[in-house]
Amino acid sequence: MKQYAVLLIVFVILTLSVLTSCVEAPNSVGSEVLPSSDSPVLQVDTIFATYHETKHFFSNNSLLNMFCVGRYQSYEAWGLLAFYNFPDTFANISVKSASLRLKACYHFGDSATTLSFRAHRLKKAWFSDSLTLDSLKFFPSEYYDTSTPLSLTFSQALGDTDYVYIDIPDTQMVRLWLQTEHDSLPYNYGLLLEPTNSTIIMGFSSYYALDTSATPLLIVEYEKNGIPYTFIHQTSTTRYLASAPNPALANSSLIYAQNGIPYRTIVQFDVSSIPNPSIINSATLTFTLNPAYSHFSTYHSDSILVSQVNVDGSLSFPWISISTVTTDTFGNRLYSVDLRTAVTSWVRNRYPAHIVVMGYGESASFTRFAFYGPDAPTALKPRITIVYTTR
Amino acid sequence: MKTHLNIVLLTFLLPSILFGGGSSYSRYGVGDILSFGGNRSYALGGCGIATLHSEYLNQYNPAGLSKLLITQFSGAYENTTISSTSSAHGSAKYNTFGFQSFFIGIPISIDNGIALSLEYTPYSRVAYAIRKTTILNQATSTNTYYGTGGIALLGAGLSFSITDYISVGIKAVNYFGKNEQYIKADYDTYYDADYERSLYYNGFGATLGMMYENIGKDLGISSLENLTVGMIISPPSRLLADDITYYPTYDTSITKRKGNAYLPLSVGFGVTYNYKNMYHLVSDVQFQQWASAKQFGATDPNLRNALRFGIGCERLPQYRQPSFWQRTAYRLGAYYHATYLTINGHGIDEYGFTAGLGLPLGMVGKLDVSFQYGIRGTTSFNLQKDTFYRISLGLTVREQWFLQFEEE
Repeated sequence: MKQYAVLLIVFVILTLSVLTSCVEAPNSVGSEVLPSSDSPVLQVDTIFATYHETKHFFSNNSLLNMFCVGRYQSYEAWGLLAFYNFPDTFANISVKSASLRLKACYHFGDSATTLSFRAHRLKKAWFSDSLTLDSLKFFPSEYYDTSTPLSLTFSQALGDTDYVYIDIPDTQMVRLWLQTEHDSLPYNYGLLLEPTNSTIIMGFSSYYALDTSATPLLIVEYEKNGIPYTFIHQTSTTRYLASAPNPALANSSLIYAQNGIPYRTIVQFDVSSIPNPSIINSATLTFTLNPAYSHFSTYHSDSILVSQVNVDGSLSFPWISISTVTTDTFGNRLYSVDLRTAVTSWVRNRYPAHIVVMGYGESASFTRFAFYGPDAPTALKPRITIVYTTR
Repeated sequence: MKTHLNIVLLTFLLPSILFGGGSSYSRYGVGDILSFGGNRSYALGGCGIATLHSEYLNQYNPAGLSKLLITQFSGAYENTTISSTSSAHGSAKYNTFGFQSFFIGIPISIDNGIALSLEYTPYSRVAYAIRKTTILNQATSTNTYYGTGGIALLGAGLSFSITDYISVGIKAVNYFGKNEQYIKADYDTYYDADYERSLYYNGFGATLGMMYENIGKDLGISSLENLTVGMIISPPSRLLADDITYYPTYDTSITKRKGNAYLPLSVGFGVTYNYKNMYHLVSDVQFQQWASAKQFGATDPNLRNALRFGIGCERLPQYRQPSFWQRTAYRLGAYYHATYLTINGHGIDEYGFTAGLGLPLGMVGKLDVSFQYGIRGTTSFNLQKDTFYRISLGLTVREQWFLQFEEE
């Protein structure tokens, strides 16, 4: 009997030991006993850009909410527009008139001046091709009909939100568009709008505009079996091809992000001073704007994007960061980007310390950002301030 | 009979419950070395190298099993309360409740003193939790340090009686375990930084033991007739070690290195004096050569050679007496331990007092209730003083295995 009493005492003691055991939250007692090698060491280092190169990059803006036409200074933009997905009911019709309705949404250049362009019939697919304005100009007959000019021209001064109706005298071309079954070749590649002015580039809402009432419309008056009809069609695709000289030709010491064309700059850094492995607690890239070589336009987004570049110069976008803008005590505009994730991957040798700088919304404007480059005074150089922890 | 084994298993094969926190001293080396020689020796100042008994399992000296008459299973649990004090940060209290050991002794040949042992025993323990706020490069950082883990051993031993009074034994041991460190710096203005470091150990070792019972009878010295001496030696053990550091937050980098870690040479001597079959006086001294033990090719400047000295006295149970309390064993002890740590240029010493009871459970076995009170370290020299109270409950049950009965 005493044996079982003893076992019962054992069980009670065990249970009480568990239930009454105290747990104290971590505290500082004993911290001085720990080895110094356990203590994190926080360090701050600033690294500067070592190399930069401004290059033209291909950008297909066919899904953008606008397309551009016009010419301003050394910039020019040619617009491409095609309507498709017509219903299959236009056999044996006679097109009496056709017009194009566009809504302006942007301008670059002198807003009070006249936009002028003429149209060409495109004869080759351009929807997803890596087409550039240079190749269009070098091989014009390959892309559009140069032997039979269209009568469609435009010349008018426009406000930034104006609707404009443009007559399409070439009704035969429109009839062929409508009668193309299932949009089959070779009649419906749309129009190429070639600028003929030199003082403004206008932007017009595309099919992907947020405001559906602003999308391009094709308005056709036609007769079928003697009965007049009006057909209005909305489904379209647009694009614009733009060109301008590389801004680095004017001043190669600067770092550029030229929207619209676009031009981007690859910038390289050297992170060898940061031990591997370190934990990167903060990494801020700062560019200082050179306003003399920058060009801001209406509706521009005052931000840049920064992303990763591979060693071969290709873009892979494992991350992308957007800038914040501040002004320093000297009145300089500073564009800062959080690069903590990027610098971590550089220190770990997962990616090279190369970035590409580009404008935010680079197809939606012709804004040019020009930043001081590696040759500038220290206070103006592109730099990354890195806060990191080692043991 | 098997219910006795079941009782031990149910009661003691519970997972160790380790509550947060503990002494910062466990950060060093392989952690706090847990010296456990068995339920009985725990209350005798940690002595047991020269204790021979048919009723108790000697976990220090494999030669100590040569007097085993019946299969015995032993398990033990320990509850430790530590109050750590430093001159700069006051004091804090921690508690741990952990499994101490599970041990089986099986007599194979009583006449020849051959017995087999199997055991699972924690060898070391790491447990600390510290948080401190500091200023780093003009940023406020709350640093948190956690340590957990330990090394355990699986052992198999064998004893053999060379003569009526001389026994030898050998125990093969597999050491295995993992020590973990977690460090986090929580900054007020930056993303935080954290590290996890895991040290894995696995290797083999051995302990050789010898006992010379009633040494005076052989030597013809009557005053030493009831004196038993014992000796153990454990050669250095090489453990394969993996050191992995992991950066969990925002990053998954891992740095690894492989190498060797060594548990050092350990030597112990003990004496036991049986006074009129009523009292046992015991004393042990153990030495461990930690100063030259290497980990990943380098010695640790925070480790030194360790020396432990203990004494104990036991009033033996009088089994023929009817009274329960007369059949109970009473134990007292004390020890001094120059631990294997040297921090901030000063060695960390420990001393303590022990007491306990061995309560009879009839033919089933025994329940050993033991208590230790000790002090380790000092608040001087920017160190900390640990005051600890330990309660251990050990249960030993007997089973008749492998006994041969004469046919009538």
